[in-house]
Amino acid sequence: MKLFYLILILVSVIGCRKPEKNFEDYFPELKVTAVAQNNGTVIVTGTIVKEGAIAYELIGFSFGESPDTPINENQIIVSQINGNTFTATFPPLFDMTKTYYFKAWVTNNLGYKTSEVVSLSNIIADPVDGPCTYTMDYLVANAVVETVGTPSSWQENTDFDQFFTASGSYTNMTFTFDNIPSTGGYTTTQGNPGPGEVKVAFTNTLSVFINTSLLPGDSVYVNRPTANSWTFEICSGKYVYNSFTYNFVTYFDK
Amino acid sequence: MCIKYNKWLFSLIFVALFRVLNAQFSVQPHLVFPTGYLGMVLKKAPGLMFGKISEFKGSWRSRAIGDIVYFKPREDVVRTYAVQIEGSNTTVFPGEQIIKLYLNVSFSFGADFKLYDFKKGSFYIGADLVVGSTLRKLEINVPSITTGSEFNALIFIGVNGRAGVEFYLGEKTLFIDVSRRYFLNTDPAFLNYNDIGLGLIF
Repeated sequence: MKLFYLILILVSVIGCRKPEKNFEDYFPELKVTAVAQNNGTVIVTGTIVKEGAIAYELIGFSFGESPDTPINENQIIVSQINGNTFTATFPPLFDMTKTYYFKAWVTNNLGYKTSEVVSLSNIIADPVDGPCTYTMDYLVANAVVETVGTPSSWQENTDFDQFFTASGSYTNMTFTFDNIPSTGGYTTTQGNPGPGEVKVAFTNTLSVFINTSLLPGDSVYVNRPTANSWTFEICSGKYVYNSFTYNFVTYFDK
Repeated sequence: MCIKYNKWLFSLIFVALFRVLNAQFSVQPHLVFPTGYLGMVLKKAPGLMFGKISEFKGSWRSRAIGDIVYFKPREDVVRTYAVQIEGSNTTVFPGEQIIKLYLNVSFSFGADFKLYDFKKGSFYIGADLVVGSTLRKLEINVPSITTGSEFNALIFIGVNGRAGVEFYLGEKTLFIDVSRRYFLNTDPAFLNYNDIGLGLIF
């Protein structure tokens, strides 16, 4: 019986783990840097300045237009840490007129903690050029070359997407983005556009009424040289009419 | 946790109760030091033990003790989070958790073994079987995932190890003991803790 008690007391002593003095000491202390790249992306690097008292579970970055943006906004979860640093690249989806706040965050079984935020403004990518030679303000649809008239202003639809229309003599184009686009390459989609995607719908009334949108996966090259000017270029957009696939080409500024 | 009827367990409790029925009353204010997971979340907490402790017969005595401990969180608001997995997309949602109530009520039945007698007292060690409930109320707010409060009455079972010294003051006995409590449940809501208390048997 004495042995039983001795074992019990021994186990009790071994089982002690003194709580940390400060609750925050259970979390790693993080630092973040953010650097805009020429292609409009932003590379964020996190550093674990001080390890937490208990192991972390998930670690990542997020950004938003406010220093208090919650961590689920524009979130990247990092799967690999090299030493005490971890990094990620945010795609070129930044509006040059806005300021963005980046933070690193970490979770453990007590909760989560964020780093201090760092901000970047005026994120501008180098101009992008599609692999085609263009003539200003033209479009080719249904084998007819048309001049693009003055595009409409940006409008917001019920899905909070941003769109505008631009028309030729027979063709009326609608470009829909998930937000007002910045310089970079966008990929066509036929559904609701997500980040980096654009829906290009058009009607053509030359001989028959065509109402369709470009097939998914083609490139739309967007340049935004100033806050309120854009150029849009499509070198080889595809659409299907009567089971045949046709080419759609355009270049114009807005 | 569902505790099934256990003939051995209930026999033990019955014997312990019977043995201490004619024992002396005891009261023991004590201070609890939470350890493990909840030691990170909860502050040191005051508690009160009360019950009956029999006299040593030879080297042994039995005890039946009730205990109530009121815990307070270290942080008023804890930054919690929820993980949402949709296909291959994982998103961490931030939130808040507030511990509104964390109260342990327990009963223990056990025995002490006298190690050494000195002129006015003795050293002893002891162990108990502990059953009880944690009354817990949480408020959780993870926007767009879950919001609300929950109340739980969690049943636990555990063991308690103890070492102490007591001093004979006439018909009363003053004692100090340190103990450690282990819960056998796997739910992290249960506290393992260290404890020090100053008590009186009268």
